[in-house]
Amino acid sequence: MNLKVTLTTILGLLAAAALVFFTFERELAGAWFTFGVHPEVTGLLERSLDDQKRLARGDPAHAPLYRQRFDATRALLGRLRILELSRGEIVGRYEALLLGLFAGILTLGSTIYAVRARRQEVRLTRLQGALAELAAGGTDVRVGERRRDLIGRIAAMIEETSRVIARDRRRLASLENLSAWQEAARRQAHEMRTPLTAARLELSRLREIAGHAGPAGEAEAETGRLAESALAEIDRLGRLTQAFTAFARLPEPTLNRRDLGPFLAEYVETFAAAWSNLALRLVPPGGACAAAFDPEMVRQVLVNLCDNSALALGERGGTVTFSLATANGWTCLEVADDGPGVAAAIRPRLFEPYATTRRVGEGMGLGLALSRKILLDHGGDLELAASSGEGAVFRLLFPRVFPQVMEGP
Amino acid sequence: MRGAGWRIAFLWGVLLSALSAAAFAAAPEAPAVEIRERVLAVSNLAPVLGRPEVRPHLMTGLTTTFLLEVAAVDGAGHRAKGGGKVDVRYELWDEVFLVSAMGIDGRVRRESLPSFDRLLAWWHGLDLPVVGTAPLAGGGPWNVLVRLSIIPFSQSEQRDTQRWLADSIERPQRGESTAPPRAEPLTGTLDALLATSIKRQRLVSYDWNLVVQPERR
Repeated sequence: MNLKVTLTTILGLLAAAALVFFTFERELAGAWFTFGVHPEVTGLLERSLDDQKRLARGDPAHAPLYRQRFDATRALLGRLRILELSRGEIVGRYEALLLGLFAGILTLGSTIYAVRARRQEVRLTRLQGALAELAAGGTDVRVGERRRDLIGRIAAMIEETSRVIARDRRRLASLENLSAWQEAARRQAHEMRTPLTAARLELSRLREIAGHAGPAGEAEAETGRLAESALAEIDRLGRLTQAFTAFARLPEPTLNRRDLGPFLAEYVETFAAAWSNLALRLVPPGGACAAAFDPEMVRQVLVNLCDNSALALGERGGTVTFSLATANGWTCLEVADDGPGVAAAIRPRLFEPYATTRRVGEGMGLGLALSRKILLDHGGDLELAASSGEGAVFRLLFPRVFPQVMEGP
Repeated sequence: MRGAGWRIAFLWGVLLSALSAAAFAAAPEAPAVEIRERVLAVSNLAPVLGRPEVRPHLMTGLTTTFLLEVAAVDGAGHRAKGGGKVDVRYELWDEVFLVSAMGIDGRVRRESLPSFDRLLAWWHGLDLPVVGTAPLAGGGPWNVLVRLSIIPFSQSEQRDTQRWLADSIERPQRGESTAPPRAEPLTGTLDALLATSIKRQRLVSYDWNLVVQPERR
């Protein structure tokens, strides 16, 4: 707030208050004083003194009573005369006292007002700085406001906006990254598919020829074995290209708003025996946890996570626990296992394609990348919430407000 | 233009003359000051009792105090101060003036005077010792400043009114104007306001500068 405006306001208040005070004091308080020592009152009292004296002379039997009343009236008259003589002093002191009190209150009020205005100015400057930081592309902007008044709420909004922008930027970067990987995978699959198909046809033909070449000899048997082996390798390459294709051609999710609780319960029941070394457990949610999601795609994500847990746990076996919660506009589905956790070295690029610690042939590291892509396409995210020697926790985030959805069953 | 200037000057002259005449007429006659037995005494006091600014107060029933303050300076610059006091109260029931006078000798002269004329006569004949002349040197004339102040009510009447007003404001439900005021001391904001605002002040003062020839020692 402008200092000039503040001072003008304070001076205006003081002037208005002084005007009200003088109007009230002069017109009302002064009038009561005049009423108290009005000449008619004193005149009547004077005449009553004469009356008392006359009555005492005319009625000597009651003279002491009249004298008593005379003395009382005289005392009162004397006091009123003293008041009248002191009128200027009394009114002056009264005005000075009230004016001092009034000025004190106004000064205190004005000081508080000015201090508050100054503080608000400082806070607004902080807001301005935060907005400038936000406009310059800053993320995770902190205003440092703790109060919950209007400025505090605006500050909270700026901070929340910066967090949303930061999250969106991360999502966008991930999507761009994944899109690039998808394009690469598509090209690789395309390049590999054609020669693989040709090679497979050729080897099939070789096996046929070897099978019809006459009596079985060692060379022929060896030819057949090699052909089988080559075909197995080519099949593996085929699965590889299928995985690339699945990653590259990931469809858009068909979103339905529905409760995640029953969906999870069904998943746990259906896949209870899918992994021999895993026990699936669902923590019953406290209430409905609605989200807009594509059940098939989310199921695929859960399968990927369970696959990872099963591989990490190995023969030891373990438990995967599913739980639901809602917070800050998100519905969170947490998948926690009690395995060895995610290696620290791989955590920074955990969701990038081909990021894996598995041995060759056990997977290409596309599962988590694909899973995160699915969640990002849902408007949410997939993150590693926690990881330690006692297990890993993955968190699937679904936005609670997602307008472009169909109502689910 | 020139004629207008003369007219204004003439009007000013008339106004100043009128004011001077009024001031001369308003100035009371100076009292007599003489030295008797190393004491400066004031007598033949100015007849201020009958003046319009004084007489109405004498008839109110309140105690009117006439305060005499006298300062004397000799030719060498030595100073001596003193004074006296005269209280006049008109007793409304008996219709007499109760008077008392006291000088620096500490002797109180009391009288009950049945009429205003007797009061005037008593006032005129009053002879009050007001300053001891011991600090003053004998040589040269002495300048004597006499101030007569008139105070319209006494200290006890002032206290009585303060308490009565405080009681009337704080305990108005008592509603009896004849009830005696409380005896306890005045405290609190209102009391402070009353104590500092209802106080004796000079109604009017008269000053005389006189010259006295000191007695030979």
